[in-house]
Amino acid sequence: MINSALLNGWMYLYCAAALVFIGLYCILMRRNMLRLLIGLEIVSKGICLLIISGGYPHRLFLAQALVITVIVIEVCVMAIGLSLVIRAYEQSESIDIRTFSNLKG
Amino acid sequence: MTAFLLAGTMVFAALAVFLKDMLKAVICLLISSVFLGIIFFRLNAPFAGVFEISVVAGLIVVLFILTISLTGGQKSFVEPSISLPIFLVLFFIFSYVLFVGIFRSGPAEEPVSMVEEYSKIGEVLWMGRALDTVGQISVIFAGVFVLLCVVGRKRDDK
Repeated sequence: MINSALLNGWMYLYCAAALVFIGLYCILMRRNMLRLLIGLEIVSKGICLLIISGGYPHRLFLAQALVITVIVIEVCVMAIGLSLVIRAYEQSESIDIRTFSNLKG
Repeated sequence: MTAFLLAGTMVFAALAVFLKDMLKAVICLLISSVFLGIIFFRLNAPFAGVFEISVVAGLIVVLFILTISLTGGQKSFVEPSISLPIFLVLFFIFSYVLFVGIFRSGPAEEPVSMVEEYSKIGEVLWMGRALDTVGQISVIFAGVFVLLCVVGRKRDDK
């Protein structure tokens, strides 16, 4: 017989894994730079859910402190990423990631 | 209720990836963040829930909408869709492994040492994880510096 608390824990783990998979798919398969940042955001959501569900119920304060750290870093990454997208759009009138393939090597 | 919230989070996150219109995609991301914040509240993590709803669902979505209004969003992209089945197969294999784990593992035993050491979130942030707080401040300063470099460079060009 499955313990309901255990099943709940696995549900959170399953949802976190699904969010990470959705975000990875978005990062790897989309060419719109805004979509890449959305994918990064979704991966970060999955990680936050994993941290909180892992800390529940005995280490919740520690888990919340870690999630707050993750969110602060996420905000900085998003602000920098979006400013780079705007800058790239001003340079090339496009936010297609293939436009910048001449930057390689 | 928990299953409904988790399903809502996943569905709206998937919609944020697959919708063509960028504005609708960002709104789906907002709804997904709100669902996740409610899950945090239900898990007795109010500080994480408040941060998730106010910062992620508020500030980041505003930044996204600002960027979409400046760049136009650009709907006409030729996106490769061949690899979706590969991801689905990988995810179903992972799900199968996960559910086998559910049916084979017994109830989790709680170790004696897993007792909350701190009684307030402030104690954790300032005493237990003080180095993280210093790191957060450094990241914020670095972010402001990079933003000034990236956005302020336009004046030099002119």
